[in-house]
Amino acid sequence: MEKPKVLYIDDEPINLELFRMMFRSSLQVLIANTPEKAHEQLQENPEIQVLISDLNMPEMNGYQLIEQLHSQFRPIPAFILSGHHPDDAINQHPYKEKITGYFQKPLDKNHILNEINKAIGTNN
Amino acid sequence: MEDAGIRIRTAVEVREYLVETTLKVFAILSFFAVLLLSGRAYNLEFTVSYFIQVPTCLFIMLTYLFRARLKTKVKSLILSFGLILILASGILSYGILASTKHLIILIPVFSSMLFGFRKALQVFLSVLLIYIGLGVLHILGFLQLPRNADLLVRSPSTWILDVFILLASGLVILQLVHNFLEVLNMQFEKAAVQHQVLSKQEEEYRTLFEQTRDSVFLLEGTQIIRMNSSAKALSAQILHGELLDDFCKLLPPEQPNGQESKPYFKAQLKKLSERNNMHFEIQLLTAEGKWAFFEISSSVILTAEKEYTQLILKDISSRKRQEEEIRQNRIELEQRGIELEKINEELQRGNSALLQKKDELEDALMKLQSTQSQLIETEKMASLGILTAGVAHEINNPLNFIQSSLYAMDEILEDSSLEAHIELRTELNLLRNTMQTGISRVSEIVKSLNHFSRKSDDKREPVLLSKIIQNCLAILNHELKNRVRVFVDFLENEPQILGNESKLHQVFLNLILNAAQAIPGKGEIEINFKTLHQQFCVELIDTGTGIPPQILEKIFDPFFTTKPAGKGTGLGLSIVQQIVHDHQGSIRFESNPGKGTRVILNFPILPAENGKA
Repeated sequence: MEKPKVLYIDDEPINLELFRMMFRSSLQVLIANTPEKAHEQLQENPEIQVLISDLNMPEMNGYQLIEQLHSQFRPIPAFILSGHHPDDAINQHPYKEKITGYFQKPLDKNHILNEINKAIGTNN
Repeated sequence: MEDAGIRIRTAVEVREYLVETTLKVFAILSFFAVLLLSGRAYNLEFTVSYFIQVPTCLFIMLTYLFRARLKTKVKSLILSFGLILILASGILSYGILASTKHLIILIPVFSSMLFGFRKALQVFLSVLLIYIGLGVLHILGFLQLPRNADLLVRSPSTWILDVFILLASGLVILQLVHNFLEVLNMQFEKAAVQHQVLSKQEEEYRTLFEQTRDSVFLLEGTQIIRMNSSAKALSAQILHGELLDDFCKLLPPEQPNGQESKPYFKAQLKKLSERNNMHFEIQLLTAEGKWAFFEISSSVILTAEKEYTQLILKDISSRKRQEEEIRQNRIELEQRGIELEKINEELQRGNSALLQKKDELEDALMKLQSTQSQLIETEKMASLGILTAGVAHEINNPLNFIQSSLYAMDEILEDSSLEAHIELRTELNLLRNTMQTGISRVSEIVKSLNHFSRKSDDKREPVLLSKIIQNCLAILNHELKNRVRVFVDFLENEPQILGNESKLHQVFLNLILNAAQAIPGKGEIEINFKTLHQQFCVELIDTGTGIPPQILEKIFDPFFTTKPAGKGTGLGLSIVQQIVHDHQGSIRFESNPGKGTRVILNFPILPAENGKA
């Protein structure tokens, strides 16, 4: 069974690196540190199964980015990742409904894997 | 005579003295007379007069000897009769030649001591008549000289006797005159002294009378017979200087009370004469036409002949004026008093209103204070919420670095290339687990803080607290079993409350766990329910160590804990309080250090129809 292909977007390079390392054995992690990079990655790798985005980013937040990507490509299952509690004000975004799931930092590896697998499973 | 120096004071004493002196002189003379009479009788013959005169003389001598026992009157009587006897016997014998006839002069002297002037004069004239009668008897020849007169005249004893009788009479008269003059002189002196004393006294009394400031009148009827200078001045003032002889002229026609003055005055005087120590007031009109008040005291003076009235007028106009002023002042004061009472009443009303206001203000203040503390609490919690939201995010991010690194490390350690270093792996595993524990703990705290930052899960539904509590007890069973016995006093028809089951679950889990942890060895927890005033009350009573007062104040403060570091966040009870308040409930701790703690929770009861619906 092939490892699921995931695009992870975060403005902090260290997070990108750590995420890739922690899922080295379980996921194919593609990374992008700006919205432009994310666009490029999706154009180059249309087979990406899951989008995971950080919430707080300088150009646009995670919801806005996913909304954009969904509209330009296709409604790929997407997760938001943040240090904020899911009920915090910042999370009350209109596009929240379209998001598959929410991971709060510090990340729970198994929980993430389960959710991703669930998303891929239902989607397929 | 030698006794002339003796002070003689009264007529009685003078008489006594005279009688005494006369008796003494007579006694001495009688002694010599008896000798002479006896000698002459022996030479010439013993006559009848001899036998009368000698015993009389002896009797006088005897009287002299017993003079102390006899009264003056008796002695005077004896002397008078003696004189008469001697006189009569002498004249009977010798007629005109009798030397004893000189003794007649002494008759009025002694008889005046026995009787009054008239009687003495009568006695004297009677004796004189007897003498004249005897003379007539001699002239007519019925009586004859017993002897040759020539022989009698030539007898020296006759002359001596005569001289003695003259001497005695002279001495008695001299004594008499001397004493009389002395007494007279003395009386004059006494009178002069008395006069001086009297005139001095008179002056004093006059001064007293004249200088009295009160006007004093002495009346006979209504006629004034005497008045002092004040009275004169008063009458002059009232009557324009006219001479006043009738007191009634001082009176105006009418008194201020409307009565006619004269009848009123007379009636008052009459009353005064009946009862002493009374006075009355009367009003007089002065020349200037002003009213003047006088107080009149009067006394009736009765003498043998007449009845006088003494009137003393005291000017009491100023006193009357003062009395009037005092009366006016009193009326004013009474009015003031009434005003003050009114003011006082108003003040009291105002005061009670103020007191009421004060109570209201106190109530309002208390409400404000409790609201303020609630606000402070809310504000504190709100600030904490904002803070914790930020902090949580900022902590979660770096925490994620560690967590992700750890996962990454795991991935690396999974690599087969390191499998050989089993010992190293074991050590790394230990370190890894420690790090994971640290991350979990920090993460747990941050999650707890999230309770303050949001009002999430606002799902409310009717719940039964007893069910929630039973659930909590089931979860805590491993913590409680064999150590803490729990008694739950369930309520029949327990009311429902509107609440969030999971939050309330958190509340009771926290409270029961706290209670269990407060019990050092074995103990009990008692849970009671009751309803009161639309409130559902839950009481949790433990037999734990209790909470000291200084700690009791702080138990709801976030981060306050008595547990060792790492064992508690200090957030439990503050979250509990937050949840209870979110349910419009209240929570209160009562503790008896060493005995245990009682937690009292109140929640508003859900009205029955809502509960059914």
